[in-house]
This record gives sequence, C-alpha cells and structure tokens, in this order.
Amino acid sequence: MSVTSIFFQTLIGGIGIGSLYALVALGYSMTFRSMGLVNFAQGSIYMVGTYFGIIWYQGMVMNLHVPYAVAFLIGLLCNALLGIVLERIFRPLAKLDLMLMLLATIGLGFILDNLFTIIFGATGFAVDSPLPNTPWNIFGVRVLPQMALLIGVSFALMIGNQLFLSKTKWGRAMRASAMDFEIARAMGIPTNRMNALALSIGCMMSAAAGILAAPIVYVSPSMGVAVGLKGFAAAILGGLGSVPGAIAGGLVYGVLEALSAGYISSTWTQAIAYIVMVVVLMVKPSGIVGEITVEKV
Amino acid sequence: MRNKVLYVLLAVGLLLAACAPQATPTAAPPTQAPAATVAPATAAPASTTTQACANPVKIAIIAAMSGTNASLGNWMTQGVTLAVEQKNKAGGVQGCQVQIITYDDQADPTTSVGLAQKAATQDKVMAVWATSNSNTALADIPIFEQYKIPQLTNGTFVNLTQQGSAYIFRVNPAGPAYETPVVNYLVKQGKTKFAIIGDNSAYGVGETKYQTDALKADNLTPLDTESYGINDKDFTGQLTKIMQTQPEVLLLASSEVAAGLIAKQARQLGFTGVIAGGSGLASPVFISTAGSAAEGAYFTSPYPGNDANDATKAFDAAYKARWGVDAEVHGANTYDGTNMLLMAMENAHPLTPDNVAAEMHKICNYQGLQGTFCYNQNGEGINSTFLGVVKGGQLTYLPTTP
Amino acid sequence: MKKITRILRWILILAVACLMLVLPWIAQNRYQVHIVNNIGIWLLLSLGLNIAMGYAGQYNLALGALWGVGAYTAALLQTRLGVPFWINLPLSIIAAVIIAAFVGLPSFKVRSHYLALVTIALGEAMNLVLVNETPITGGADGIGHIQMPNLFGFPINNDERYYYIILIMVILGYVVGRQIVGHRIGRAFRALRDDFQAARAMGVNTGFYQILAFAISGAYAGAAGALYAQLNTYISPDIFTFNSALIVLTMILVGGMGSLPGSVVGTVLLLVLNEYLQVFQRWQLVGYGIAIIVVVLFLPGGVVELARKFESFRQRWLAGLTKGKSDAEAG
Repeated sequence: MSVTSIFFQTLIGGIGIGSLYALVALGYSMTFRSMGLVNFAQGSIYMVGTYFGIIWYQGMVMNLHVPYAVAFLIGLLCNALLGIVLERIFRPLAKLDLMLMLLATIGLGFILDNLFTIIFGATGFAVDSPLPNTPWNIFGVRVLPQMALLIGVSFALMIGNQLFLSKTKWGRAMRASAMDFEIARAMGIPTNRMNALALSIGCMMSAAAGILAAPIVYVSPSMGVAVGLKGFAAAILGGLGSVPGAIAGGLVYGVLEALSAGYISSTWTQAIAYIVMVVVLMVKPSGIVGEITVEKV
Repeated sequence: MRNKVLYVLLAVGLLLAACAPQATPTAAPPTQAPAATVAPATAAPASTTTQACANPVKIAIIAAMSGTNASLGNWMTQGVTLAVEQKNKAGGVQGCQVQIITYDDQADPTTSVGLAQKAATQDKVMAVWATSNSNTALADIPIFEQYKIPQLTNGTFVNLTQQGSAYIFRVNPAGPAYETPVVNYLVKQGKTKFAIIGDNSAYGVGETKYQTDALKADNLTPLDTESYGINDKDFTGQLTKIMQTQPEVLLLASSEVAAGLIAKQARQLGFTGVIAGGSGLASPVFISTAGSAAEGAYFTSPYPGNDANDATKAFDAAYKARWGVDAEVHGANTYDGTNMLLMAMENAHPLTPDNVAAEMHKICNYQGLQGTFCYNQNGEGINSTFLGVVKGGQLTYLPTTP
Repeated sequence: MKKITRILRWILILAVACLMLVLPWIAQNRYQVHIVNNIGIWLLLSLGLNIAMGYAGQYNLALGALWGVGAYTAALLQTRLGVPFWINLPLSIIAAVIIAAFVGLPSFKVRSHYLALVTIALGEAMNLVLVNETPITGGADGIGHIQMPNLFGFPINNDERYYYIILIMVILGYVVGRQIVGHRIGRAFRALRDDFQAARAMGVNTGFYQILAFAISGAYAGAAGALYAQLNTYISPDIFTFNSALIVLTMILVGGMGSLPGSVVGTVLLLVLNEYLQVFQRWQLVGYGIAIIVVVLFLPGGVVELARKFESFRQRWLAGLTKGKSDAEAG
C-alpha cells in the first residue's frame, strides 16, 4: 500500500464512524436549538432506534424478515413517535437548571438502556449485512459497500434536513420557533408542535445512524453509551444548536480518532480526541461552525 | 429551624442504615422459571437426616446481574445453581441443604466490596463466588482473606492468585494458558511475523502481555502492538497501521464482540494471514459477529465443547433441561468449581469456611468438564486449554497433543 | 414556645452525636459499619461538589478523576515509599487541589454546557492516564496491598476503627464547608453563580474564586480518595470515572443544590435507598432512573426543598393559630 492510499484508507474509516457521530450530534443539536435542552439520553435513543428497525430485519418479531429498507423506515417511524413522546416529557424540563436537565435525561437514558437489557438480554447480536460483504477496491483503498451506504445516506439525510429547515414553510417556522420562542408563539406558530417535530427529526437521525451502522458494528443495549458521549462532544465541537456544526463536528471527531489511532498512538487515541476538543473550545468557544453564540465570559 | 427537620431525616437515615435489610436469598437467578427453592425440612426427610441442620449452608454469588455485564452474572448463576440443585437432590452437604444467595455488583468494584462485606458479616456464607470480572474479583480478595472464606472466581487475570491470599480459588486456567498454546502452535507451523491488537481493559492488557511473553519465549517480538478502547467499533486506524508491517498472524487480545469486529474489518482491509487469539474467539458471539471472516481463526478454550465426551454431553443435557439453552464455557467452569466446592464442604469437619478452604487446597486429580484439577497453594487448579479452529462456522477442536 | 424548640433541637443534636459516637457498637455486623463508612466517603465528595457547583456554579464533572488523584497519590506514597496515613492524607489533598486548579482553568473561557463537557473530557483523559501509564499506576490492574493506617502504634485495621477517622474527616469537612459558604468566600461564590458579569463589575476577582471553587472540590475529593484507598486496600481506574461524578451529582441534586445539609441528606438517602433497591434485582436500575426523573420533575430543589416547604407551612399554620387565638380574645 502506498502512503497516500494508507492515508485515505484511514480517512475513510474516520469518515464512516464520523458520519455516525454526526447523525447523533444532529439529535443533540435539534433538541437544543428547539427546546434549549441537552438530551443526554440521545445515546440511548440511538440504541432504541436501532432495535426498533433491526428486530424486524433480523426476524426477531414473529419471524418476519422484512427487507432492510423497510426495516430502516420502520425504525425511523418508531423513533419519530418516540420523539413526540419525549417532547411531552421534556416540556417541564426545558425551564430547569442545566444540571437538573442533565440528570433527568440521564435518568431517562438509564431507564431505556436497562429496559432494553431486560427485554433483549445484555449480550446483543450481530446483524447480517444487506449488501455484499466484499469491499470495493478504489485505487487501492478498500471500501465496504455498507460503509459507503452509511456515508451516502448520512450525507443525504443531513443535506435533506438542512434543506427542510431552510427552504420549507415548516422548516422556517421551526427556525423561527428556535430563535425566539415567545415571538414565534405570538406570530401564531404552534411552538410545542414545532418542538415535537424537531425532536422527531433528531430521533429519526439517531435511528438512521444506528440502523445503517448495525451491520458494521454490533447491536446491544450498551451500544449507545460511547456513541452518545462522542455525539455530544461532536455537537459541542461544531457549535451546539447548529445543524451544519453538528455535521462538521461529527466528521472532525471521527476523522480525528482514526488519524490519531493510525498515526500517533492507538493507546492515547481517546485522550488525544478529548484534549483536541478542549483546546478547540478554548480557542473558539462557539465551535467550528457555531451560528448560535455561546454564553461567553 | 429548617435544620431540625434535616437532623430528624439524618437520624432516620442512620437508623435505616443500621437496620439494613437482610439479603434476599434466592435459589435461582431472576431470569428463569420458578426456583427449586431449598426448603430443608421438606427436601430431606427427617429420618434420613443424620445430624440436626438448623440452617442451610449458604453460598454467595457476587456478580453483575444487571447492566451491561449481566450475561456474566447470569451464566455464573446458571452453572452454580445447576450443581447445587443436583447436590441438594442427592441429600445436600453433610445432611444440610445448600442455599444460594445472589448479589448484584453491576461489575462495579466499590459495590462489589460492599457486597463482599455483606456476604461475609451479615449473611455469614460458607463460600462465595466472586466474580467473573477480574477487577471486581481483585477488589474482593482482601475481604474474604480477612474473614477466611473461600472465594471462587472464573476471572482469567493472572494476578488474582498472586495476592498472597490462601482463600482464592480459580476454577479455570489463567490468562497465559490461553495465549501460549496458540502462539506456540503457530510458531511450530513456521509463522514468524506476528502483530497484536488488544483492548485497554485489564483483560486486554493482560492478554496482550501474555501473547508478547509467549512470543518472547520463542525468540520473537511482535511487529506491531496496537490497542483500543473497549467501546470502540472502528479499528481501521489501528489495522491499517498493523498491515503496513505485513504480519502473517494477527493476534487478538479482545472480548467476543470486538474480536469479531476486528476479524471482519481486517479481512475487509485485505488481510490474508491467520487470525488467532484466546477465549474471546472461542465463542458463538465471535463467529456471528465476524461472519465469514471467522473462518480459519485459531482459538483456545478451557472447555472442549458440549460434544467432547460423555461428561460434557450429560452436563449439556442437564443444563439445557434446567435453563432451556445450550451450555457454554462460563456455565461449565462454574459448574466444575461448584462441584469441587461441594466436595470440599462434604469433607470439612467441622463445616467452617476455613476448613472448606483447606479442603479445597487438598483437591487433586479431580476430573472436571475442563480436565483434571489439582489445586496448589496459590489457588490455581488447572492449566490446560483446548486449541481449536473455526471451521464451517463452528468451533472445532484440534486433537490434543501432549 | 421558642425555648421548647431550642431545647428540642439540642436534644436532637445530642442524640445524633451520641448515635454517631457509638454507631460501631450498636451495628449488628461489620457490613453495616462498612456502609456507613462508604456513606462518609461519598459525603466528602458530595460536600465538595456542592460547594463548587451549588454555591459557586462551577461545574466540576472531573470529580471522579480527582477522587482518583487522591486515591492514587495515597496508594502510591504508601505502597512504594511507605509514607504513613497522617502524612499521605494531606499530600493527597494537596495533589488533588493542584490538579483541580488546572481542571478549573478552562472556566475562564467557557461556561455552562461547555464547561461541563470540558471537565468531563479532562476527567476521562486523566482516567486514561491511570489506565495507560502502567509502570506508575499499575494500569488497568490497579494497585493492591495497600495497608490500612497505623496511627502512632495503634492499628486502624478494621471498619469499626476506621469509622472514627472517617467521622472526624466528615465533621471537619462539614464544619470547614460551613465556614467557607457562610463568610466572605461564600458571598463571592454566590455572586459568581447568580450573576457573573455583575460580580465582576462589583470588583469580585472572578478568576480567583472560580479556581478556588475547583480547588475546594478537589480538596474534598482528595481526602475522600485517600480514605477510600486505605479502607478498601485495592483501587483500580474503573472506579474513578465520569460515572462516579454522576453519582455524586445525583446525590446533591436529590438532596439540594447549594445546601450543605442537602448534600448530607442526598448522600445518606441515595446510599441507603441503594441497599433497599437491591430486592428489585434486574429492575433496580430502571427504578433508579424513574426515581431520578420524579425527583427532578416534582422536587427540583431537592429534599431540603421539602423541609423548606414544611417549615413555611408550619409557619403559616402557627400564624393562623395565633391569629385565631387573638381573634378569639378580641371577640
């Protein structure tokens, strides 16, 4: 392998895992921009969404083996409904202190994680890939079809989400509601419904991430723990509340992990990622993209 | 004024703490069907009871019963319960029924130490299983050494038996016994270029070290050694780096799922050499996670599989009848350990934890499912593993060469 | 009326003090003493975090790692160099204070969620140092064979004896904490928390007090660490994680943010509750999650809020009573 193909090989792995972080980070950002709430149960929502979709594909419900694309849509739909339920639960939380929010949402994550452990067992299972398992060889760089699908669909979803927010009437109403809750309400925008929509979109993105990644990773009730924390880091890194920021943050975090594992030291990969993130926030507290300004000292 | 209420609350809290609830004796793990609860009076007719048996003999299980490590606690409980129920049906230990008390430590060392105290001082158990996780087992050792209660573990961490305690007993081989045979086998096949990838937990770091040591004994050094965090899912960075050194063998020091993912990703990156490792690869979870990438992977396991011989077949049948699933390695080693423990209890006169520990040390030439046990003064009982290879999606064992 | 309540109060304080003094003798077994010792250690952690977070508004979620700094300092000094308890305890506190001050540095630049994330990241990075620096820290295997203390020839070799050390430390921690929050520092902390810009405009040296808040929580964590290591005689990195910080956070939120008695109530309540919840087996953690949400939604001020509510209710009731009486007299 040449030096360049090694670099691109490492990079593609980072982009793959990074787009997963990005979709989860979108969940954080959609919740934060609409309700001003950091939902630390996002990792659990990612896990729940994965189960909602994958159990149909794997034939765990009445031995039905529905096609992957259908399972994907079922998972998204179920998680969208979850988002609507969550909006109702979160409504009284949004007014509370940050730490209370943190605690309540962590409590929620706790419930989901342990409920799914009780229902499906702690061990988890591997998921058959819907696409061929032999990688494509592109100029010496090997790309797994499922990885390409993960990256492709993630980007399509992210772009679609951005277009929806900026171009459609609903999207603009959501943005208005996110910017100023009171004025939006005075203008007749049903803000609670807009928040529910925002949360649903966030939950759908997380489900999409989980179901797309399932055949590459492994499905278990604890799968959301690390992804949840890294998704939060990615969202902050990009600028919490910013949609393009979440995407950029996720990709940067994923690539950072892969490159530091490949080129610096795999022992210290996590520590390096944490420290880089701290340094970025020190230098530019509003994050890489940062459209919403941070409460700066 | 407000303080008054708080003082009352505090006092009530302290009182509550002082009257902490008694442990809940459960004769079966929470998962499965109604337990064959041990009721001494009914199970052993009075006429056959040779001695008065006021209280049943208590064995504690401290393990993760909930949370992400729940599988380990569940397997342990199933293996121990099966052995105890068989013994109780045959009349119990010295005429006494044996009762199991389970404690859930959620794989957290702090919780585990507290529960160890509880088992030792409040429930006054005769012996204890603690635990499947090497870290929590290590944390519990000082407690059981202090109270002179035999502690059985199926952790693999080599240090477990090097703490100077006379009360720790390992019921499966220690880490090096898994890694040395597979390395030696591959070296004999003419392989010289090895690379290692392992996680940064106590388990992974330990196995990485044992693999390196085994290579060193054969005058080899790994071309590259990489590590990762236990929750990582993408290993491209590490594997790409490893593949630049062009190894013939990729040694994994990983738990089941990560081993499967690494094998899969290594093959996708074009690795054509041999994949090998320890007990993490001797698992259906590894095979299902890796898919076709598991094919040809070498592994070692302390348990020769359910179809190995008459004893394992009988064990598997009993296990399946009781729990509805096939037996696996953790169930097998806890079953072995509990049988030896019950034997030691039978021989201990009078029946005290200290005497049971002394009798455990005397066990030699015991024929268990995993092979022949002979305990030394450190509490190490068995050192042999079975080498195998994944063939046709199945764990198949190679003929043992002495 | 007032006199009676004052006497009642003193009787209560005395009763609690007596109970605390004789606790190891009235406990049914050593396990109960162990639980109480455990409560003492977590109490130190929660007092420290409550001062930093509840009073000064400085989110220090690296607390788990700072606890580890204390524990590892004590353990390494003792196992490698044979430094006795009464020297390694203050040294552990100093080490944790220094590291905590560094953890506090980002608070100059970022606040709120950002500070929370930064401290989580720094804490986890420190934990990785414990995991990876095997030659020094023993790596993931941890450190064993830590000796229990021996104070001037008197061996503190069991939970009952150790209890008194913890009792002294907790009382000391509480009294010092009250001094801190009750005086000048406490006022500066509250100014910092309630309105940062105004505090600065009023001439409060905000940077100094921010670092001080982190350092104080570090001091408590350091002491808790040294006590933990020498009580349990074995430590490993997996104890000193973000998860531990979360547990402490739960304690002070359940008890009451910005209230030292709240810390006490929250810690005792949660750890005692934990004993009782074990009967729920696998549902225990689900129940825990539900309990947290219920507390946050219905009692956001913590349990001390309940005491406050009860008190205001009693005041109104008393006022009503005297009013009724005077009405009757007038009539």
